[in-house]
Amino acid sequence: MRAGALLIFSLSLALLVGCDDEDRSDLLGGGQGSASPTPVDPSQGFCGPNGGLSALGNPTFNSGTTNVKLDLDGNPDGGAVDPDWNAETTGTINGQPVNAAQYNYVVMSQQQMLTSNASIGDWATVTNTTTGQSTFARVEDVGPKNGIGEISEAAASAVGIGQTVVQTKEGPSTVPVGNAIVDIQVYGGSGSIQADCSQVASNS
Amino acid sequence: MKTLFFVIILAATVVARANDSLSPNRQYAVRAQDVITLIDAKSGQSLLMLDHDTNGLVKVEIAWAPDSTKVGIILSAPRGSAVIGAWFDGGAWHKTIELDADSAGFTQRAEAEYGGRLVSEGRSFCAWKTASALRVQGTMKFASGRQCDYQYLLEFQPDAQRHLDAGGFEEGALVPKDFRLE
Repeated sequence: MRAGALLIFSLSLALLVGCDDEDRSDLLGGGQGSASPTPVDPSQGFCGPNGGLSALGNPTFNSGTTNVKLDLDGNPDGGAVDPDWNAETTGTINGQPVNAAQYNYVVMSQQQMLTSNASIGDWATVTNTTTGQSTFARVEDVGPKNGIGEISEAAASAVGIGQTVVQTKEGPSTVPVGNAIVDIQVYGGSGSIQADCSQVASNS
Repeated sequence: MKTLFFVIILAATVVARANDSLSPNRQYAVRAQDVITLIDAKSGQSLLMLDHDTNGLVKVEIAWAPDSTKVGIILSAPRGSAVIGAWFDGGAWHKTIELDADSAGFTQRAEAEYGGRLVSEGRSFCAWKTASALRVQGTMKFASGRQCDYQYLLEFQPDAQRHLDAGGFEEGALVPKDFRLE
């Protein structure tokens, strides 16, 4: 139960900015809101689900093979080497952003989450399709539409994908090294399964 | 006196809460708390679960169609958004969702024009253009640091071939079209 997770509705005339003149503004509704994230016990880490892969059932989302996009969000040092860096992540650990350098997490679009019955905190697997290395992760950030393959730097490292900093017009940017192709599977509704650090990863 | 009587009657027959978004005919409402549900405004009974988890959302925007048989909802997180919808077929409510894939080509063209991959986006409703289509405006920000505004028309097509996904959405009934950069 996310106590206090109450979204508040209000009419918002700001919605009209940039819209066609003939649109009917009298039919609009909506407004700002907020949500309280689910706390996660940091002592659990994101090792793996209690009961292992078989406890997760069938995946409800499969990215297919996709190029890795590194996410450094939540890593306090990420801002210096990622022009797209955000201090916050959608998920939190006891109220703090999920540090991309420490935790294996995957990023999904809101649509991907909705259509796969996934929530923040659900379990996922990330598999390096080149080497076969695989790791458990959790869904901890929501990205833009059409986003796919975005994983934390820790998740990339866990499946043997290194990273390097390159110079871009926007400044230093951290990118994966080599043939960084993964397959991401998410297990919708699995977030309540406790972590078990004997289930760190499989390298099959 | 007539006004007071009307208000009393209304209060007695509608149990929707102040934060609910009522349909124009006041029969239905969308309620967002830990979950987002479509409810019968008079009884408060849940008719359809629209989103089972609002964790991470920072904004919910609702646009009811004039005839109260359709509603569009934008769910916004800090870096991304989704548009879902519901329609009444005369007997029951159904839910559907706009698919990322339907705007993938437009997004790719924008990425090529503005430089780099899409890193964040947000959307909001303009208003209904017809009884079954509403206009949406959005902003996309790219890895280059540049951003653009765009609009498109989102059309309910309940008679289209639909596919039920794991989230309970009938995919295929909410179709975006006529994308244009601002």
